[in-house]
Amino acid sequence: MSGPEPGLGRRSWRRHGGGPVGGALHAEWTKLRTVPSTGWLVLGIVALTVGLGLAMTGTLSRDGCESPCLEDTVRLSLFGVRLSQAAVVVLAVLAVGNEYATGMVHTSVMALPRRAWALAGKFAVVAVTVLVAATVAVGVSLLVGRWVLPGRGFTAANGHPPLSLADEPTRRAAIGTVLYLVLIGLLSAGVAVLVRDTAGAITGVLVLLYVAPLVATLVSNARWERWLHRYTPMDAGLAVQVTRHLHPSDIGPWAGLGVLAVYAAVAVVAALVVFEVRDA
Amino acid sequence: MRGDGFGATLRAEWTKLRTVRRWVLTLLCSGMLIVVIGLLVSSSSGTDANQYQNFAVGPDGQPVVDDFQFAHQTMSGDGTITARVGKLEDSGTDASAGLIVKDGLTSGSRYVALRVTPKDGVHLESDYVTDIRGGDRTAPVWLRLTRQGPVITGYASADGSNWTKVGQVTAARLPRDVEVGMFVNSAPKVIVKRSAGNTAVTEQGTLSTATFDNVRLDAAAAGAWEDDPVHRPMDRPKDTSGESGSAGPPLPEMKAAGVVERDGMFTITGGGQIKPNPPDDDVVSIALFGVLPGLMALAAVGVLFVTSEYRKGMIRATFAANPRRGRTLAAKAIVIGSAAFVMTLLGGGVALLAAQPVLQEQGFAPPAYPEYSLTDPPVLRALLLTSLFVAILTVFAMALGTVLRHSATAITTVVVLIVVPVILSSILPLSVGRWVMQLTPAGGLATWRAKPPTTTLADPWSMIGPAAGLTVVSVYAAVTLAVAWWLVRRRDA
Amino acid sequence: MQPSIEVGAVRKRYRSVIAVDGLTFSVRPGEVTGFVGPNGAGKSTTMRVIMGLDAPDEGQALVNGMPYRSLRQPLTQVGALLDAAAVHPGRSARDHLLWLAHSNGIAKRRVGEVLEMTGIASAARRRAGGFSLGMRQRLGIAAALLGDPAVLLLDEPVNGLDPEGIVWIRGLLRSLAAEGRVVLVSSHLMSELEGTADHLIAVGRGRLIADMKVSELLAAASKGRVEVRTTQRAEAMTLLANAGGTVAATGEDQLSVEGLPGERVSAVLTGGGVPFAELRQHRASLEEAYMELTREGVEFSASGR
Repeated sequence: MSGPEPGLGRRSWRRHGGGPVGGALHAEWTKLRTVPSTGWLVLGIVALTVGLGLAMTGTLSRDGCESPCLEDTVRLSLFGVRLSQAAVVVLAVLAVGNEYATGMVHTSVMALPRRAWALAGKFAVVAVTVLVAATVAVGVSLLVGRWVLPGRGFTAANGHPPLSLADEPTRRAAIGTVLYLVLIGLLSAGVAVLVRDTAGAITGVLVLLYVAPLVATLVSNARWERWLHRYTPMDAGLAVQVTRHLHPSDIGPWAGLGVLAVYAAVAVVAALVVFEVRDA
Repeated sequence: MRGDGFGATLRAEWTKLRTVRRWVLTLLCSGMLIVVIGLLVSSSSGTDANQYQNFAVGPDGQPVVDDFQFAHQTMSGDGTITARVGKLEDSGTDASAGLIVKDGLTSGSRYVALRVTPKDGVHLESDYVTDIRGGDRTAPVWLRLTRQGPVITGYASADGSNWTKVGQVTAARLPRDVEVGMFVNSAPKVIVKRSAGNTAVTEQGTLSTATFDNVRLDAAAAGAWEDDPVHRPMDRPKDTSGESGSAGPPLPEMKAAGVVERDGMFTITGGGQIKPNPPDDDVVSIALFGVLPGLMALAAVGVLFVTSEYRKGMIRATFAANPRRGRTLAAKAIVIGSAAFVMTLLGGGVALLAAQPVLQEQGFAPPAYPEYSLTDPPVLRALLLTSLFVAILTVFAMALGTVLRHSATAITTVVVLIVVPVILSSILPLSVGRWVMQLTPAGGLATWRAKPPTTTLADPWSMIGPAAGLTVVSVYAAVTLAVAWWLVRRRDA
Repeated sequence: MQPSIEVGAVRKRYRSVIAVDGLTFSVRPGEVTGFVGPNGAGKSTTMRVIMGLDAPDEGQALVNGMPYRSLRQPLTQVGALLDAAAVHPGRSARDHLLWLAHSNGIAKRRVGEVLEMTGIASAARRRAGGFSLGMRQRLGIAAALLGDPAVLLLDEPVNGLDPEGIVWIRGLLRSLAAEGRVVLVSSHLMSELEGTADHLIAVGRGRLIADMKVSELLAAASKGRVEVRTTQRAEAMTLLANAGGTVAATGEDQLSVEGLPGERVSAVLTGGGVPFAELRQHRASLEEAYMELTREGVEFSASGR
């Protein structure tokens, strides 16, 4: 639809096309990249993943490991996501929460009154940003593991060939870990829309993620322990990293990621609906 | 000066805290989280420690270990046993040799023992509770145990003629007929291996050998010495692994144990220990588990207590009302710390009371887990220290919020500093894991244990003591508070 | 089709407070329309409903004949300044406008234009967190103008501006209206609109109090009163009363007449031989007229506090 009143000044700068989705994506990307904290958080995601992975593989020792030593070296190399997911949570929550904190959400909704589309654009931009950061983080972590592990005694000779994406379980763990972080980002962004408060959303998501695995270390009732491992977002989602000692009672790698995907989907859908219906 | 002093600042900060409804709700929620999560975790925990006992039941129904090699005979009424421990082999674990008066040969029965150790001197002990240390003599040493009515007295001597009294105990509940004699044992070796999240605990039996000579029993009817081991019936291999999947430990090596007598010299070889033996799992820390999510909520309020003032520019009004900024910071720390302390104390107290019956239903029942009450010193200590830990951590969060002036970063940092070390040290090798707990605020979680530290459990907070944990979190809080103090005075509001 | 804002029987309640209670009005293009009322009268809520931020409980608000939320590329049709503080403090002014431009397919070039237009081009790359209130206000106006919209809503645009800025914004509003746009400007200070607004919509307690041209309002408030200064007050009063006017003494040498046009007063006095130093039509200030209007509609009056 064209402007209602022609002749109100020059319109040569107006570009048509792109549609609401394209506009939302472009706008959200501009919003995300022009806030200084985004760059730091992306850097943090990579640094924390790689750093903690290095700390794990670097201190790994074959003493006290039975022979043949079947350490899950892939999982240990990618252990850093347990820490870096906190940076993902912050990035995703801030992308939403900042708008509520500053009141800019009104401007956003006025610029893009098809709210669900606009929010979907924001979710997409957050997801792609996390995807890129996570891909780099996971790739570098595996490279570091490949470089460090032989020095710690994990060589092809004793059943630990160098980490390689040609290996199916390793590839699955790598791709799954990237998707894990993307889903964590979506879950966080969704919760932030529902809560409309940065601090509340961050605390809530971190408690949801971190408390359940700790409960599982303490709980000595096998049935409950299994339940916690299977149906809480972090433990279930990270089942995708397991490449050795897959217990039949554990949730499968993709099924585990699926559990996390359900959490994320519920948060995202609820956020889209609420955002559309609620007064801005 | 009224109205201008620190009290006024304190009151102002308290008013600020209690008038934001969201914060008050969060404070109350944290208390509720402590109770609800504590109950949930309690009801989802379980133990088979009473079905498959790896302990003997002591005279007061408590779990004990009571294993030794025993050269004995029956003594009726009063009497005295004297012997010289000539040599005592140091097995590397806790070895001991000595004299004992015991109610029969059943593991876990009442006793009075006088023992000498390679490194820890002479002890007079009774019924797994009383322990009187009497000098640091070691073998060769003369020992004497005298029963007279209900009183049993222990003596030690270097030469067999000049005796010093080690101590005396009243053993009114020992029967008239007791087994008396010489015993030797040596504690098993506990090997804890941890790799990739699996903790394997193995106990390896050890043996120690000691010689006794100049053995004399002055009693109504002295007879011949018999040789028997005292130990818990071996219905199941002793297994205290902290996590499933650990290798089954080998049976204690018993074949070399026994008594050899030649020319009045007894050579006794044996393994085991005589002492209380509660399981390492701590019901108090299970009941208090809700403190973990609770403290995250409290830390968030601690951060917001400062950062919201910066965000809304209210900090200028605060500093205009009280230009002594350091005092404002101190008042904030006291107010938020006290609020966190009280909430944890209330929530934790309720959780402990409410969880007790739930835990009993889940198998945490006597004899392995005696019923606790809030007034038991270890339980009370755990509750108070946990509340103190949460208070200090909340102050740390507040100080970090002051330094960073950004709620999201500050809250995330605090949560990560608590959670990630726990995840890490439950997977890292034991020594590294212990270091992680000793260097991060997560170590403060050690406060919620009422039992002494142990390395045999999967939960990393059990590796260090509460004092170490409180120290590390206090250092974090103090340093951050100092930086905040410096910044607040220096920085433009 | 002409640009327009139409508010029809809008009612909005927040919990127990009725913010807008059946409000109906429309805003025409080509003139500056003042939207006035005391604090809490429902101005901001009405604007939020027009901008599709809040959904009305009853009634509807249309912009260019459509509900705001069904507009495509709305910034090219409607520009609004609702809350100038609503900018991420870490983002520069230029970047703030840039994402808005991207959201509605507006070319980057236009960002530079509105930055120049509002006089903040030199600060465009600074973090908005360090902006003064006046600069934020200018940034908000730049955002409203970004899509060169035919409809503009500005909530208290004068807030925080220095005298030079106030002169600037008045000129801007008048020229925007002169180009045939719909310009709705809210204010709780009538004096701010004096000389700027052509039309007035006054609200109180969520209801419409007045919807009229400023000239009509002033005339109504002035009630056709004529003020006369003369040294022979008594004679003048007698003469004018006989001519059918309602006369009142307002000072030692002053009187006011109602019910007679100025020319007739002049003729009567001259005819009666009474000299007069001054004769003028009384003009109520906008403030006065407005106070008159809102007397009943004031929710938080001075005495009520």
